[in-house]
Amino acid sequence: MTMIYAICKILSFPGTYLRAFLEHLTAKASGCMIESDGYIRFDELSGHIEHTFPLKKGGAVAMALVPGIFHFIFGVFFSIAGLVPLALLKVDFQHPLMCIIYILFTFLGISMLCNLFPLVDDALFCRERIYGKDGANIVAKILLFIPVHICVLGAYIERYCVNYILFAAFLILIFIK
Amino acid sequence: MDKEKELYEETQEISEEEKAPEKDATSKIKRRSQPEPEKKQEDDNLCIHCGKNKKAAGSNYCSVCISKATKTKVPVFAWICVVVVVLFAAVALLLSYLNFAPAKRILEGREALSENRLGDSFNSYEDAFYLADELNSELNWNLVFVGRRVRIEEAKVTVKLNAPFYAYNFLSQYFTEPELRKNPETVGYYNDFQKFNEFLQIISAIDGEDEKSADEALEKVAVLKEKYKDVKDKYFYVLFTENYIKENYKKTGKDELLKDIDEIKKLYPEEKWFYLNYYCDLYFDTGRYDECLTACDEAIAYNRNLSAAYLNKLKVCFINDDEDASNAVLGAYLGSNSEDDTYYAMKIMMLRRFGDSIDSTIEECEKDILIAEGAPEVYRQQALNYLVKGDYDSAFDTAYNAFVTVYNLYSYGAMDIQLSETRETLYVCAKLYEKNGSGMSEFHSSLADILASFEGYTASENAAALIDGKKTPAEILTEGMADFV
Repeated sequence: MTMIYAICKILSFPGTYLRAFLEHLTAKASGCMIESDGYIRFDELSGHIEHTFPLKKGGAVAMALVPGIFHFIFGVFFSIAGLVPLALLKVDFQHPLMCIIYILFTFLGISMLCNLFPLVDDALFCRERIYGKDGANIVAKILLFIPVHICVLGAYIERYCVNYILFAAFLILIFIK
Repeated sequence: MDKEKELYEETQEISEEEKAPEKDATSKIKRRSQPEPEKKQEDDNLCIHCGKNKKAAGSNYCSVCISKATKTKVPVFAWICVVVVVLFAAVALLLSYLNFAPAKRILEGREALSENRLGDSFNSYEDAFYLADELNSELNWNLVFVGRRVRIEEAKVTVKLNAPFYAYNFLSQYFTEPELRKNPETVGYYNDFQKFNEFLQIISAIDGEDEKSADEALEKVAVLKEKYKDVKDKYFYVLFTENYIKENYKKTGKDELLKDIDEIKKLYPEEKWFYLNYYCDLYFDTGRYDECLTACDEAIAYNRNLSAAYLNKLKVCFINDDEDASNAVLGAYLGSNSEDDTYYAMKIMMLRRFGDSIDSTIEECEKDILIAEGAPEVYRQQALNYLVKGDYDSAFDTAYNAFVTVYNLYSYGAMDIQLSETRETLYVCAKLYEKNGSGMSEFHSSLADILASFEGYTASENAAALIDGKKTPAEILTEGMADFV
């Protein structure tokens, strides 16, 4: 599984690299201890960085959510910028330069969307810090309920590379249609 | 947090000797949240990270770990990547903005097709290409492209809309592109067009003024009818051509045409584009109004932009003196179409037929002419309003304007325009102006030429009754179907 995971992460290398970069920045901002051993690796930490868990609740939430939010926004944006001309305007290699640019946008966007979620450990730790013993206040619990649980679910989906299958199916569906 | 930052700074000053023994400490960093309880019990003062050194003041980590961690810098390459991504995002933003309008039109085209608004769908696809060209010419740089495969999507609409004519226009224009030549769908359409082309040439060889040339064309068709009677797809075009010549050049009776259409429908039920609207006209012309309503409903279900079917339906409602049903037709039209010239024409007909006074109808029509930007059918309706009012000068002027506009549109290849109706309206208005006008018309000097162009023209029954004075304009235009055509 680790090998499949690492291969998938290498295939989506722009998103993998940027995800690790954002995690690195967030970890620094959250006061975590970091040992960065490269952003793209051939193990289960590919696309993530080794770090200790943040001591504060805010840090735990930031580590779980912030890189993902950035990736979601940019990923959706790049995907739309690439997929609209390719799938809707049906731009093809009659216009090679533009076609390549749109393929790049799509690749960049999808690779970002494939690297949305944190490691399962980070996601579970975040959930523990919010909903466990000495958790957050009720308002934060309510506000963070959906994002945190999506994060946990997404982390498992990403761990088993299900998201790659979903995106492949999505792309096939779009281009067949 | 501030305390930790201070500690980070302090640790920069820690001597090399102090750090050296712990060089490997950071490489042993393990992912863990809190120290294990047993360990905690053992020594609460040890660093929670390496577990070896004492915690620095105000921190859970030892000064060595803090020092190592702060030295883990973000690689310069990562920052370069981020700059590249931001630049990419700027380019993507610009291209998305440019692609937005054509993409929107294509989506609208697809949506219209799924709702059987074939005319809207075709227009949206055409708009998409037009907008892309416009943007490129404004930018003076080819950045926006609509791919050739969108033409194939458009071909499907054109074939459904009105197969041979649109296929002719469409494929003769785009089939030269290799992509379309390779596509089996377009090859199919092209072959269809090629089949039709043989018959199109027969039609185009007919001299409209010469009865004999129409007979010759029908003889050619008869030969082809025998030749292709077993070739199903070609036989359709034989029947189509025969019907077209009979209707347009031989003035064959409507009942006979109806029989022909029945035969075509039986043999080719899939060619709905051909017979559905035809039925509406033929049933209306032969006075079979109930069947006309059914045919109109079927035609509208097939193509909700088919304005001729709505018009026929509205006229049947007028004949039945059913104001509510007329309103429903107008509402249904607006439900699937924009406020176009057909809508305004139908609205004015409604006002003339069921409204209180002709003056208010004329006033309303003036406003609609401005909104519809001089649409010829709205002008024609205004000419009819003036006839009802007895203002023959204005009726002639307005009818002349309508005819000039409609003729120009026809010359530029516009389809679905009411050329014959407008021509007959001009004829009636010119005749009545000649008889009853004040001689002060704006186009008075053209009257003689206009009337000369109608020499030998046979007007419809109602138009002739109006010209001969057997019926008044009010009798024909505010009762029955509210039109003489």
